[in-house]
Amino acid sequence: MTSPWTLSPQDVDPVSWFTGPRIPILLSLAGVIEGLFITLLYWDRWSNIPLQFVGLALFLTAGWLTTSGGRPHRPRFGVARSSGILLVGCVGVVSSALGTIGGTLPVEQWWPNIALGVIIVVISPYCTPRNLLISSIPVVLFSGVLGMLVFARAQDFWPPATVFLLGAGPTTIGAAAGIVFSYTVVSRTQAMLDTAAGVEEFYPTVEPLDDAEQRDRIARLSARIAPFVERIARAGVITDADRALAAQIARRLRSELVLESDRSWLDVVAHKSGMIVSDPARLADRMNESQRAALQGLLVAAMDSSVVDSQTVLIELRAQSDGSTAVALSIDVDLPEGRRLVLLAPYYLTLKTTVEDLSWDDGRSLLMRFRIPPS
Amino acid sequence: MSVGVARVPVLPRKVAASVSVFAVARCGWVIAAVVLLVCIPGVVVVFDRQHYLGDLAEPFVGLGVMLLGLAVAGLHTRPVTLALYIVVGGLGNYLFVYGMVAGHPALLPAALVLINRPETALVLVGTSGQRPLPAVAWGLGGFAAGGAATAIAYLQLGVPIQLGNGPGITLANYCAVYLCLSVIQRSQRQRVPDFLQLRSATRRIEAERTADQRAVALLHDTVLNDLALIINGPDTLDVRMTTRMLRDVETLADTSAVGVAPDDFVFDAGDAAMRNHVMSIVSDLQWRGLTVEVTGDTGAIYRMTDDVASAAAGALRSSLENVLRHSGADSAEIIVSATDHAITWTVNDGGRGFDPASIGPDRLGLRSSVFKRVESVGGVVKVWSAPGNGTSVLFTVPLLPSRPEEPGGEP
Repeated sequence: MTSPWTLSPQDVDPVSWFTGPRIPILLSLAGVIEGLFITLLYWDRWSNIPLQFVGLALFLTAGWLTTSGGRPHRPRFGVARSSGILLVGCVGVVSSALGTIGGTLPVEQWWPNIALGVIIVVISPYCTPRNLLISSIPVVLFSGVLGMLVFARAQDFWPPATVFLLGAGPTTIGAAAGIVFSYTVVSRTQAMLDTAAGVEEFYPTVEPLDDAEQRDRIARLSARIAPFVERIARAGVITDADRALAAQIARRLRSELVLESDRSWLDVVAHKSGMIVSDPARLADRMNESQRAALQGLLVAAMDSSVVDSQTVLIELRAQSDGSTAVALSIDVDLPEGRRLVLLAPYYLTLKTTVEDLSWDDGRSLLMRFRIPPS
Repeated sequence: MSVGVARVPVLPRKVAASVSVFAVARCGWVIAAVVLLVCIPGVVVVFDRQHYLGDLAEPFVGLGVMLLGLAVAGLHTRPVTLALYIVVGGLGNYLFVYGMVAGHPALLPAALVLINRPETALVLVGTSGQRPLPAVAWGLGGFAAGGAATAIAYLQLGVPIQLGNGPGITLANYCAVYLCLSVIQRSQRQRVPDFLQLRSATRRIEAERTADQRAVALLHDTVLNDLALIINGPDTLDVRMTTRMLRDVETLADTSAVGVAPDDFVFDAGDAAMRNHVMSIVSDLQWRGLTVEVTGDTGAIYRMTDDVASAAAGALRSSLENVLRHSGADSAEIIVSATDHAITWTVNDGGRGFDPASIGPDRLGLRSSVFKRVESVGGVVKVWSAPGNGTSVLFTVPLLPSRPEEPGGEP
């Protein structure tokens, strides 16, 4: 099992609630509103009010960057992106600090470090606990030191060490909360996925086909033949006309059986929905059960939607030289990018957990490509 | 495809929601612990500056009691431990506030941010369940207990009550997080697909497809052979031929031959049925002019599922039919061998053989009657043949694990 320190909650459970599109910006907004409230409450105790608003805008920007970077079809959230977002937050703290030095604001009411702590929490679903720990340490030290620089000389009650603690407190709390959240989600989700013990009770059982369905299948293929064979057997005599009819039936039946025998699971889905499948090498049957379930979910969700014409859904499968299977899925979706995401993101993310190199290319047609590794 | 409990790539939403709730609750406990721990150096530094170091005992006992209650609640999360944290935490908060304020008038109001820290920690109670809303109730309980403890301490000391904004802001944020979690989970339950339902639908399709392919194999073995007999046979049918044709028609009416019920197992009784089935096939082929010799491990008891037994019998019959109809040989040999996990039948003939690469994709014989049948139950098939050198068809199917010895039974 991969160490929980090296995976993010987004990696182990991409369809989790925290990857909802507006959560990071909403949490950042909550931090900004709190900052705005304090700014207004202590209006005459700042040395430069506009710089406070610049800081607020920067925190909102950090939240927006997180929301944008965490969208389902964006690449994995790396150290560079998380560090960049924290850097924007740190610039926000500096801006506010410049507008606070020389003022009379109590250190415990200084809001930027609280907002910075919120930003650390906001990026935690997309970061590995290890990356969060590494990038949080300088941020915590920075916020404590900056707090001392801004307030130490102006304070007569709080000693410098306490000013440092007051400055670094919110970011420390944000970092601890973020790391614990990230680690807890990863480790518990991994444990449940690997043992399946936690989800066993949710496994539905598949009803076997009933007799009527089985009779239908046999009857569909043998409706005309069985009575013919029975008639001849009971008569005990074969005429030339019987031989001619038998040859004709045998040819037709053989071709039907070949067709039936060659149908992949994707052909069955296509038969029911009207989508087009191009799979000359019958590679669809190489997919495992999870891949089939995830892809089928995506296809059904797309084709059940009123904005998708199922006739425009095209899926192509081609063998690659390394033994893998390349799959391209094209869907004409009459929606802008954002609403396409809302419609398909949960299914796209589910598929992402089962295949490799899944990409999302927006255009007039939505094009998804992925790879199924050799089994 | 395998059926049963296996690794799923995505947790059911209900399970994922419980993970989120637990993770948020644990965050709350960690934040509470950090707040309480940071209070320790904070109090030391402030008391040192105000020359109160001799009075550290009472605030420290209060913090210690709260940390202990928090540790118990976090490590053994039950409703009773959460309630205990609120009660014990309230007591600890009372001791802390009393110790901080009693005899230290210089600390108020400047140190209010430090004095009400433990009260904020008491708000972050979390929940022991899987749903987020009860956490709000627990948080309100903690807030009330902390506020009451603080108020009692101030009243006892005759000092005006100063609660500060910290606990209220913490409660607002705490409730907002859990309410947000609840709303999001509700909307996600409607939007996010349940992977296990998707998988169930996939299994249904696979079951239908398997039934179709077995129907194909069944038709190949029955009516296609009968049609070939009608096309090429004598003008008058003998009793054996008519019996076989009528039996085939009867077989088509008996749909259990293509049933897909992966959980139905046959045990020792099935082994006997399988043995009888094999002997019946051999006898039938011998009546039709093919001498069949069965050698190898023929006496052991094998346990296999109904599906496997049906697939193996069908593949065996098809292999022998191919020998009879295409090889030109008048005899064949069946070799049975088995391991703990699988049984293998090898059907050899010394007939004219064929080039396996030259068999067109439209030929159903080996492909649907042997390969598909065997592979559909997790088995493997190998064919060796060359023109003039006979043919060997080997197919292996999985066996069920050996049944454990019954207690008290024969060793």
